Amino acid sequence: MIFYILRRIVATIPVMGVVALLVFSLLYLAPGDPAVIIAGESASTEQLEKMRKDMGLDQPLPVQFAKWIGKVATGDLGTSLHSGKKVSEMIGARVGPTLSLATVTILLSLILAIPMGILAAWARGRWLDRSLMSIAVLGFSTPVFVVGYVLIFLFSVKAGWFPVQGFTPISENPLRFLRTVTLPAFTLSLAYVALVSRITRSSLLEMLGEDFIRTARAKGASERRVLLRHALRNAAVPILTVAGSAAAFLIGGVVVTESVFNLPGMGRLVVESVLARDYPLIQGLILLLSLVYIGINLLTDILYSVFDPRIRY
Amino acid sequence: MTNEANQREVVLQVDGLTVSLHSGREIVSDISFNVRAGETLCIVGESGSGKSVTSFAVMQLLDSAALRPTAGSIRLEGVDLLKASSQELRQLRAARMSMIFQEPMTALNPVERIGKQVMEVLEIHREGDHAGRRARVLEMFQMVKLPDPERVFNAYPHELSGGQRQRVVIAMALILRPRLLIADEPTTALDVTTQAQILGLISELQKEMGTAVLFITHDFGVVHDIADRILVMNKGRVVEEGKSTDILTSPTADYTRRLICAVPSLVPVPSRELSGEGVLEVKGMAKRYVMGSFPRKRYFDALHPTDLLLREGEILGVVGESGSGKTTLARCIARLVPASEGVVRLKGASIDDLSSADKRRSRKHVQIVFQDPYRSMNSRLKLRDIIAEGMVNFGYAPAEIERRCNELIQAVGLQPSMLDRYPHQLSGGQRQRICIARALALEPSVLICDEAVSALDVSVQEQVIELLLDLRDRLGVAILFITHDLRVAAQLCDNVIVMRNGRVVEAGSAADILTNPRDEYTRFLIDAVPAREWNFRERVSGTVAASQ
Repeated sequence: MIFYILRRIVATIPVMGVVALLVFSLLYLAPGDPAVIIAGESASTEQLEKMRKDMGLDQPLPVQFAKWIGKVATGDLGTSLHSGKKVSEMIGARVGPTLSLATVTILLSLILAIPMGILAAWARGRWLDRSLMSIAVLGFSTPVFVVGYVLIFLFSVKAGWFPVQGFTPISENPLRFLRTVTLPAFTLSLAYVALVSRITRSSLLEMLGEDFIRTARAKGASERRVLLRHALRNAAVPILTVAGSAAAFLIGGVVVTESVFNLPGMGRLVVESVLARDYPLIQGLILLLSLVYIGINLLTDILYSVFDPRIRY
Repeated sequence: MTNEANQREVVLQVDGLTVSLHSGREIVSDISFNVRAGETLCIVGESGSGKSVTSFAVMQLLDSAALRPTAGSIRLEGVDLLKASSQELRQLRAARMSMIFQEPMTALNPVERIGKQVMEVLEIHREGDHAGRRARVLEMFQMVKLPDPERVFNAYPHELSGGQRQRVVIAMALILRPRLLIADEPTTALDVTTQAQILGLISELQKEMGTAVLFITHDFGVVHDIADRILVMNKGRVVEEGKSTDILTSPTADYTRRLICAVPSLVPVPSRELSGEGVLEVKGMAKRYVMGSFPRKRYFDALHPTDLLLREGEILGVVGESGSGKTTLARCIARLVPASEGVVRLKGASIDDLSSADKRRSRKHVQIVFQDPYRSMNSRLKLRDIIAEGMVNFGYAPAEIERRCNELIQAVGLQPSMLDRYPHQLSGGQRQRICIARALALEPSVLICDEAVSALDVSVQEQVIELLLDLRDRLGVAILFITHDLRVAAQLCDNVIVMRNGRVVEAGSAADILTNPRDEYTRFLIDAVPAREWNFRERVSGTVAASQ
């Protein structure tokens, strides 16, 4: 098991290398001279020359890459062109709300979706199954911003249970944190609840057709035992696969939700940096998001082997 | 049956049982039988006879979305199972009636440890505490002769062999000492030697516990060895029922007689003179698989260096148990998997010396027929396209293809009008004929049959064997016939090689090897064949010939 985990971790190193190379190339793949992009169209020839020298742009690409990697490894992601602040600090200030929102969303999705899927599989073909799956379709097909505004209107403006916008870190006040994060997380989770509950239902139903389920019934097992003890753990791998991809896609959905609920998170920073063509900031953000993706994949792989003892690559 | 046996109590009594699809179509109609304590009743029948549906109906494990009992009664020690509530049924299962299944590879939960799964039976039926349950499971593992019970207890199913898993399933089924054991083809998926052990184990435990056994099988060899009484089923109805020896020697129904006559004899056919030239010569062929990765890299030699020679018009049998390397040998020769070492000569020319284009062309000379005719054809293609595909790949003219398709489908005993059908419209035997026609389409000099008759009912198996003999005589095609069934090998093969653990242990003429085996393992294999001294065809005809 430990060997397996170590091997999976080692296997991520080449992936990270490729990601770093792609992120580094970003500056050179964009049309035009990097120095012009950084300094702006109005810079004079001398200014550009000085810039090339300062930034090491006159050196061979492999040397530049090595230096850049060296800096990144020590946490130095460069300076934002727009604000002049350090990229690492800018990202650091925004990472909290996004991480909290994503984590709460994933937890909420699983907590809601898996029981829904189990119930639907248990009641297959009956009204409970059909209504749960209709809710899932609805959750899947309603845009995040519509749900967000409707929820704000109902629960914040009318009922006053939750703040309309803003964010409180969990370290500051856990209760306030929950109040600020609940609505956005719920909004964001709807699509994933739909996705994960459908997958839970269908993989459970598939498992229920397997021979070992018949064996369990022949032992005298109740339907509940058959579902929870025998079918569910075997269905874990497809559920995990979908939940893992969902967690990765989630980062994309965060952008809209952060705007609707006015959360100072990374999603909005991404939009801002792209609009301002702030290359060092874009590089830093992509690098961080890629690491998160790689981490999620690694975690999914390791969880596979926890749920299914046959999986040891 | 003796008078004493007649006095034993009836454990299971089935009266006029009918099981229907929701559409109303009857799958099993008006079945009646009973099983007494300590007795074994074998239900025999071909696929589609309703024998498995009957057994699942008794356990009340029918897929309720598709099937339900519509008439009759099933009484287990007087309790009508069709009227019992689902809670009552749960209490009866495993405690009073148990079941073991055909496929030990999939019958256990793959993600839970073996010991926990067997303990679950005791847990459900509220027997003892954790320590007590554990001790009982370990004791049961000893009873079913599992090696190293502690290790098995902590193992996952994929870490055990098929025979070991079946022992676990038997332990699970008998741990509460049920009155009735239903065994649904429990040895069909196992090797003959394992089969013999499992059959021995079941009857040993049956004797000890006085269990009534309802045994479902299609194999008359098994029936001969274990049945007290036999119930023959066909198309959902009882054909006849009686004492084992009566049915096997003097059946009253024609259907039973035909079935019994179709069981191939273990007495080999007389040797033929083989005058043809060598078509296929294999020298030092080996296959090594690399498994795992650093730091737990392991090698597995599926096939140690092996030689063989196949002549024109010869049928060479390759026999052995699962894992003996016989399928690996076939696949390496057909170049479906690359061999690690070795030379293949086709009509004297080494394939390795050919250019890659010529290698591809040489594929037409070696064609293969697979075990399972249900899964080896593309279900979206018409039979015409299935047979024609190879010819299209090798650039035959359209008119020629059409002519050959008509010819081939007749050569395998079907009508040209069937060419426009799809595979699902055929029976298993018809599908295997199409697979053979497809393989013959490229006029191969070597036909490899990998367990090509193993998935077929005996009556169909008999027809396919005759077809292969006929094709050999008419076309002079050489056949490499992979099988685990020594009876089939005896009726079909000129020469036989016996394989074990990737090595050839014995080679020679079929007549020689099957009547006078020199190697200990070959003898062991032959001894394990159920009812080996029983020549069904001769015994049943009334004139009981001395075949021993």
